[in-house]
Amino acid sequence: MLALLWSCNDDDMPLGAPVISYPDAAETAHFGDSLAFTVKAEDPEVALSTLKAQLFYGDDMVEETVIRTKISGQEYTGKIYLPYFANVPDGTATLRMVLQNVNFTTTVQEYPVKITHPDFPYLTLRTEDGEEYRMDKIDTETYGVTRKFDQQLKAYIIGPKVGEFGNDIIFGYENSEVTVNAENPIPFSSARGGQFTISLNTRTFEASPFSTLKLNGKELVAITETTSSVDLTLDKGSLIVPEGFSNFGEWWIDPDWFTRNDDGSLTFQAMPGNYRIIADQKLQYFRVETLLNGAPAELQDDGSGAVWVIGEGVGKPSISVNQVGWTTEKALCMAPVSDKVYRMTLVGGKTIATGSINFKFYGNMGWNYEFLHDRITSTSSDILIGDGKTHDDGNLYLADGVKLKENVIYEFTVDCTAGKGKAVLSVKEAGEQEFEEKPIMLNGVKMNTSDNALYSLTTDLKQGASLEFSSLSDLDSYYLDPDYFSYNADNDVVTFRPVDGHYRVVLDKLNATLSAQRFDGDSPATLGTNGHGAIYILGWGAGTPNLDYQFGWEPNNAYAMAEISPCVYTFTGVAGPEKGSVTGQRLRTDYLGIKFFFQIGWGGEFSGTNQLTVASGSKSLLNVINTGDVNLASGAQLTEGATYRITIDLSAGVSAGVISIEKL
Amino acid sequence: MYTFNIINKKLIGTLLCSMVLVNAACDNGSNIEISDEPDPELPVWIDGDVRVLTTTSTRSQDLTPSSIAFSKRDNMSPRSIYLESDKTYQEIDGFGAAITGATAVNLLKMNPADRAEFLKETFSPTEGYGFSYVRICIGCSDFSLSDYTCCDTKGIENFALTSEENNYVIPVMKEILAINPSIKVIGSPWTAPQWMKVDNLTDRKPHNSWTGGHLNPAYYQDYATYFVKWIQAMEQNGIHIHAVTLQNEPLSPGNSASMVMNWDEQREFVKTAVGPKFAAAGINAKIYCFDHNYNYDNIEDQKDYPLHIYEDADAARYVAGAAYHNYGGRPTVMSGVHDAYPQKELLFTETTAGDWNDGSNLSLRLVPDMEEICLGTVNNWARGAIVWNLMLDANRGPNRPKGCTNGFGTVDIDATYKNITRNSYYYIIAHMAGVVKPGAKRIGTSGYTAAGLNYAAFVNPDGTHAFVASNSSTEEQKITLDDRTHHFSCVVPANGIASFIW
Repeated sequence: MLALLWSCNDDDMPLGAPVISYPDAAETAHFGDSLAFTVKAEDPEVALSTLKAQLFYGDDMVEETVIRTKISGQEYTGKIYLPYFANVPDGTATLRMVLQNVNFTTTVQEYPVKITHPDFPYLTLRTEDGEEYRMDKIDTETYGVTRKFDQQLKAYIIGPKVGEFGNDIIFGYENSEVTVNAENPIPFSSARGGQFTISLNTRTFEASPFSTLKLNGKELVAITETTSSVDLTLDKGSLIVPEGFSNFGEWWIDPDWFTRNDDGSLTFQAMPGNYRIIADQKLQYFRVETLLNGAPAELQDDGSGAVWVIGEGVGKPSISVNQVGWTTEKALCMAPVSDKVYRMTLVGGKTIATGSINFKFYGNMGWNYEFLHDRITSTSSDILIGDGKTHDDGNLYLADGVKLKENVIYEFTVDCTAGKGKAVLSVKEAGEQEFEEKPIMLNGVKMNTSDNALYSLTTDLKQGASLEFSSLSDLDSYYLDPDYFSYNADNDVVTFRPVDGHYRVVLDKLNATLSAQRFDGDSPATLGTNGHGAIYILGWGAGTPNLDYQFGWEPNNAYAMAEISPCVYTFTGVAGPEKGSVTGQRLRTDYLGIKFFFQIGWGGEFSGTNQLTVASGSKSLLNVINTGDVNLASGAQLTEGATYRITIDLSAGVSAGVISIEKL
Repeated sequence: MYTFNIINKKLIGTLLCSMVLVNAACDNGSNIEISDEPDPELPVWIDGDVRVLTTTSTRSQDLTPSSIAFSKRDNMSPRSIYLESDKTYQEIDGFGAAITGATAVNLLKMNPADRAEFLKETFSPTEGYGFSYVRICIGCSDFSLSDYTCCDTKGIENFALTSEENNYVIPVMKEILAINPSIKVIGSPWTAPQWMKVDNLTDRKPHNSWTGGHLNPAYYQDYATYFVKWIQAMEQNGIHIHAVTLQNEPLSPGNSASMVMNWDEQREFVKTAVGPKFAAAGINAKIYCFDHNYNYDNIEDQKDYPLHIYEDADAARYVAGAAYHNYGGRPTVMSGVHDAYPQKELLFTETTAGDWNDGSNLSLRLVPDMEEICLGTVNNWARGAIVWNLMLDANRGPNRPKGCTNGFGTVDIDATYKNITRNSYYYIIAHMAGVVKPGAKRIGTSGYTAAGLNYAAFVNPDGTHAFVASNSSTEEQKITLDDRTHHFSCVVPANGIASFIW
């Protein structure tokens, strides 16, 4: 403790001698506390004026409280707030008491206070809507909550009172920084919607995520969890500068609309006009729609406006991941290349199927105006327009014996200069696109890919084998099917879990998943009469990697169970809600209605003589109907967040399968 | 004693009082003489744990020295800037200005004592601000006394230093070297001898002009020898040449003296001539390529000029790095070059203040110049910053016809050659050189940032720390500097700059 006494007055009036008595000075406190103090102030000669409590962090005075001290010898109580700033280390602050009398004589005493960060047991994320989510400690002084959130979420984070002098600590946002006691909520935003983690470090105030997507400085507005858009007025040659896009160098750039520049910007290639640029962060490409009066343009009688493509065998950025099909919301807008002339550039095997096509031109993003055969003619002898007799009216198809060529660039041009009822389609080859494959090796063997998104390799694998993927630095962020793989983050090695066999390993970069499936030569394996091979799940209440992808009854969605030991197959998942499940939640808590098949789709299945019975210990949760349909037992529920493993044991033969479920 | 023009009213008042006293004793006709009083402008470092220089754009603080004691309290300041000595960037070569012919002439017009005092104050690493790098011209520039090279008679055997070197630049350089023997010198030519120049590389017709033209490839070897002879001649005069650039502003055919040297020409010249000649002659002067603007004058096929040279390993092995000027583009370009070729050096070699940027208006120039020319260059990997003419006269010269006629010197001297006005470049270079010593390493920082506050941190070869900051805001910035061993609170004044060494 340091005590000083001085006065700036040397006249004859008495100086007085202020005396501070602070016997119970607090020695420890936390940042964010309101430190209570009781000080006896006296001056036997001169009336007192004020008592100032000043708090110093290092040499900086960070807080001051002033108390009027009218009566000598009286105890005065007060509180002084201990500001909670980012990145300030624990340390010994100085509480300075300054007692002054009316003749300006001052006594100063200093008291050390050791201040540490509060060790919050948890934090609470409170959204603007009042929803609250508990944030648990996920690292030293770091708290997080992982679940589905809106892509943009404004929220405060509240730390509960800690210690004798504690306050609720409210982390808000001010001057683009997380700040304690700020008025504004923290504007979290994720580059991708859906499931993500909101976190805060209570020492550094580093919080995440903050991802704002902009094009030419204009912020994109979320449409879905993975898409967002912005409307821009663009000229041919306009520069488009993206901001905030992750992994932008990997994005597919549609050549009908853009070229990519060395500095990461894009140059617009279509005619001047108003356009909606839709960023699809899952598929990593920009979809572009021509606008008229602020809405997707419709084709006008004179041929101006826009031409749209809907149908099969066409899709961007590739047909493998985003075939248009007959979903109008996925209609492709052709790029206007001159007045009333529209173009779509497609690459064989990539954005247009080579063996068969079945798509059609439309005058809007729907069914209002179809280019039937009497409204459009084709100058191509290879790509014809259905006449409504042998082929659907207006639908494009390949002439007999014609196949499009892999990697060849095809320019489809629809010329509407004669009016929308007299359109002319021309198709020309415009060279060949070399696919710049970004190879990923699995144990030194190159995986197959046609789009640098979906990689697969069909190979013999042994149980317990280590799988090493080259050129894949973020494997730790992938979801690995837990029945097929285990992962050691320390050495980044994946271990294969099922029995020895021939498998197709599928790595999906877009969805960040790693899955596998038993194969027999080049075909998916089937369940042999000896009980080896594969068992496929279809039905509702189960899905992968989350319950947005329930298997249903579509054969192509069948899930191959892993033969984890001879004749024993498993499917493991965390129980979750049907809506809003997170990755890994592969079983619904409230419903299960699945069947087990011997192949992909119908044919052999557990029913009739191929009985499936429930193990005795699992009857409280599972029920089998008709010897094969599996449901939750009457009244049974799975516990949300708990992990369950469904096992089918065929050790006694295919006709005597035993199904069980265990909570791990 | 020479004097500085003082703008600060309070200081003027003090000086006027002194002048009355002095005029009674000394009728020398000069504006202000205060020889009997402690000169408030002398760079007196005030001893203490931390030595500080502070300048404001109003000159209320004018390279004002002060000192600060280390704090004995725990550092809990929320405005702490931590110096991260384990995160090092480039080595620093130095900071300084150009000793052009014009500068040398002006300095020699001062009386010897005034000149000695000015040079000591400017260049002394112990008693002055320690300017540590100078640029001199190989032949003429737009601030020389005539248009010339050191070999204007055809035949490289006719090489000889001229009167401009012998009578002006070299004598001044000798005085500077006597004050600061370790100062680094870089040389740059504005043009090759006319007889070596051609109109273009196709026709190769003679180009009898000081401006424009190209170096005739037939004379690559002779011109390389010209560089060798110049360096040797300077060495014989006791001036060690640390580095050269091969052509000042090689993309500009303008200037009163100039020569175009596109990257492919410079690549061939260094690869086939200068590099081998230096090696053969045992010359270890560094060769910096380019020496022109960040934006490559927006000439499409000259963009990334140095990178084209680096791509040729046979050329790149002779080239230490690239030099830049700031008459177009931003210094961030240097970071791009560094990222592409981290092993190559970067150096900022020229900027000029003039009427075009209100260059003598300290209130406008001080902080922006510090932000761009010093902090902006070193924070983008430059090993140093050299500004143009150290001293110009009352007529903005001497200069050349077609050359720059409306520029300002780093300092300007009036017609009496007694009164010196420091312009912003003098302050910013003094603030850098005063605390950042040759051989220092730029180091990382973490912690407090604020709008308008820019800074860079260094560790000097002797282990001392240096920190230079600028503050463009209208409020002073109170900060705490913490090298993880010591910390102290300090202030960067509003619209001001401050340097710290400890």
